[in-house]
Amino acid sequence: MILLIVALFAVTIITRILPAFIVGKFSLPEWIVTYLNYIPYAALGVLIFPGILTAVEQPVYGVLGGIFAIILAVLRVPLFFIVLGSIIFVYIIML
Amino acid sequence: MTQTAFKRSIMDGMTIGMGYLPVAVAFGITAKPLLSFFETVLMSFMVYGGASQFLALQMLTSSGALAIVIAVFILNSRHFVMAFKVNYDLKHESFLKRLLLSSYVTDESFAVTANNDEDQHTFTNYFATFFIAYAFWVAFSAVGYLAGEWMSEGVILASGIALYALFIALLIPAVRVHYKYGIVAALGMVMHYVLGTIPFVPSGIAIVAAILLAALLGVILERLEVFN
Repeated sequence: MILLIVALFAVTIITRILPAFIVGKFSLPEWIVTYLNYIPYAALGVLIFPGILTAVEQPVYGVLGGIFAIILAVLRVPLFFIVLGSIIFVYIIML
Repeated sequence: MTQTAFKRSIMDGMTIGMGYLPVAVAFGITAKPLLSFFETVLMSFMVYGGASQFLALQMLTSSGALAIVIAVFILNSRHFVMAFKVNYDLKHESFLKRLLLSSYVTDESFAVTANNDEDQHTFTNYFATFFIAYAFWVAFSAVGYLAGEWMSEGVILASGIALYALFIALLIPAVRVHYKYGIVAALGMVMHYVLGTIPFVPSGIAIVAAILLAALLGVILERLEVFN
């Protein structure tokens, strides 16, 4: 088991630290920089959906929780309280 | 900005930690019948990836070690793309500092720091955010293992929304800056959904491909001057 964990450590750390060796070696063309700037938003979309459908017991609760988070974010509620508020909201609608 | 960059970075770490809390507790609870306490904490300490760790537990009873290692490698390959962006944003920092920070890159630590302010782009600030989040992950895996049965099931279930609320909370301010970020995110959602429905595509590949394709479409749309 310990050996397996060490092996998992090896394969997860490689993907994370590899870019540290590459970045800075040469300057990137402009379109790659533009591309990199879109990566976080593409990633956020990918991470939100369809995962949110299985986040809590029923897809509809996940979607409602997501809508509640959107409302809080539009109202400029700080990040921390959006996370906390959404948990409380989902807890209440699941009662 | 009334708070210093360092204070904001600490708050960012706490926010990610809040999102991790329920997932880490759930990991501790799930691991209990399968692993010893030491192995559970060691896994969170060394692997540090929610999806990867759950996948490993899930496969433990049915698959061989090599299959688990390959599956986790594929699932984790998305962190290459994310760590690349982190390293690019911090390219003014030394190699060793970037190397250390890279080892703490997760979906959440990447997403939060990719949206932080310019004045937070220093080693110290990133380390504060990343390390606090990491400490939450390891500590609450242990808490879940030891005290899982005393926690309210309803609260743990409801907490499943936490990371999604975090991702949404990060996306909305970007969309406020420009709607093109919302379009790219929506493309990412569609891509992930479509690639996810194709049989025999490992989920890790679907995630990486969806991110790369959606971002590429963003570049293409920008080149075609669709965004104004």
